[in-house]
Amino acid sequence: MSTNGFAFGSTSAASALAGEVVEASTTEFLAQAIELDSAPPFGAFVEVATDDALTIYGVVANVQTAGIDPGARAIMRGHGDVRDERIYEENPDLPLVLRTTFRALVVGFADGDKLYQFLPPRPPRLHYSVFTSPAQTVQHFTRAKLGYLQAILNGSNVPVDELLAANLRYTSAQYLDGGSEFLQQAGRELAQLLRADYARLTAILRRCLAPIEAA
Amino acid sequence: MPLDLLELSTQVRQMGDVLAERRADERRRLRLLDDLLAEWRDRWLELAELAETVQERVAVPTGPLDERVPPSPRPPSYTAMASDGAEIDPDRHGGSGDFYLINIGRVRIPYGQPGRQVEMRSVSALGYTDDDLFIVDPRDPRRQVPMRDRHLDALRTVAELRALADLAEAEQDPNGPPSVALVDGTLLFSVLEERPRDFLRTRFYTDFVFQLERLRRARVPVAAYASRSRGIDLVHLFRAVCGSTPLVCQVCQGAHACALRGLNDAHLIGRGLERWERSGLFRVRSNVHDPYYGIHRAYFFLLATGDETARVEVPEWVARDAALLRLLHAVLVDQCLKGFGYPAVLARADDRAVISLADREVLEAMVQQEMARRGLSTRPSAKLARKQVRTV
Repeated sequence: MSTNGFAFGSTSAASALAGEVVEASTTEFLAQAIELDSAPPFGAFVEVATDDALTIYGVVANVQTAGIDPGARAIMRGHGDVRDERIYEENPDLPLVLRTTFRALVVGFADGDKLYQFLPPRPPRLHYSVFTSPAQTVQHFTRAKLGYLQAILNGSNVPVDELLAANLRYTSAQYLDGGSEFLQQAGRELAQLLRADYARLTAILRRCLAPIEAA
Repeated sequence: MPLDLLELSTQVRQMGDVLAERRADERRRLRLLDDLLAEWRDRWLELAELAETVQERVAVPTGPLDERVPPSPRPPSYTAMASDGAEIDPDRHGGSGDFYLINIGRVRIPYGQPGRQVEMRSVSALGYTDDDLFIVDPRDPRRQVPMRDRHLDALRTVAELRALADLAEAEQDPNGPPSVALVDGTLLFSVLEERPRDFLRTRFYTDFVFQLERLRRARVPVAAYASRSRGIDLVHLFRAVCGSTPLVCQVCQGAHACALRGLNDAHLIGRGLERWERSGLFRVRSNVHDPYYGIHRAYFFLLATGDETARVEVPEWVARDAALLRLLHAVLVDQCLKGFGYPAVLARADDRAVISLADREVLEAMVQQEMARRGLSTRPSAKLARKQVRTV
């Protein structure tokens, strides 16, 4: 088991526990993944509970693995037939000096059973647990309104179009029926948001579809 | 900018001339010394006998001088332990009163044992009581020596070895994979005494040797690793052989001065080593350490890591146990491969020991906060205050 910089490993009792908040602001938060290389997928919904009973929702916008010490850079360690996973077996200390972090854009919050698709009054607290949102929550959050797509569209320093498409693919997969109704609604919402940029709209929608077949 | 760069650049150029000349001279003298070494290569018993009569600290050979030992294959699984330390001296100029900090990085990495956890920890301890801050002569309590500078270094060295002994004793399974324990530097740390037969050496060396004994009982071979060693114990022995009188010395006549000047042991016997080979064992005969160390008397060998020659010191019970020595050698080779020329486990211990400037500031702020909470003033000395706020 990779421990991602946690000195005594992790007990993943709750399977959806994804990480711990290590930087927080109004619009986004950074979390350290509970295990090395095990961040939630790009575009996934994650959530953090606050002390005043709010649940803040975010969309994973960036995942990074690097040395914990900002001054320490990873260097090539492979030699002979020591490659890939064998490098980790040969250097069991690596998971304690490397870590995976993921950045999530804040897209809304819940107060009891009321959902809001705008920024919460305060950011999540540092060191609070980040969970991957269960499918029901994702369905609940995306069923009625899709105003959060605007928040993603306004994200800075993230590949916005890729993130939108990844989130739509991820979200539709959370519906038992494949989310065709959700995708249609999302298409309409995006058409509204990007009405002045048809080329960009089609580029995003194309990324939501099946893989490109080899000719 | 406080440096006079114009003046310095001239001096750097002049220094370059001298350094280049010195390097050329060194090569010339090494050729002369090859003859000396050839002469004594197989007369090591004679040398060893001679070493016993020398006053200063010397290396006592235990075999032919050109002995070269290739490494054994590394064990499929083993546990590497290491500790390293750093300290903050009591700050005379700060306002926070007298305290010191010793930070020990202790690391245990089980290789080839997927079920076991890696341990990497820092253990930080403040010293602030009178007992911490002063070493008291047990025979004369009025004599007190402040715990700072070299004495604090010695205290840290003992703390490093204690951390290793703790790790070694925690390795319970006698049938499990073998373990090796490493510290950075030397087993033969120095303790300055102000007068003969003072109490300072007793205090530090007794504690140090007790930790060595714990390691021996745990049957974990311990070694001190010095990267690019500049040890001169063997040089001292040869100086004793030739009497340090260049005028009548056959070797040195060609060099116009003692050919051994400025050279170290690695120059003498490190040059003959192929990568990963170790030299023979030498016992360090030290009038300072031997009375305290007993069965833990220090031996050393040189290890060629490719880019440099390292010196590895071991206590006598490791030196006399061929199996432990083979294990240590094989593990050191694997560790240097993993750590790009320096044992990986020691590098991790160093990472955990080092105290950054930011860490110092955090500690300083914590202390100041605590003092302020109690209404105690924390004024720095006038000199420090002047440094903190520059006036024009």
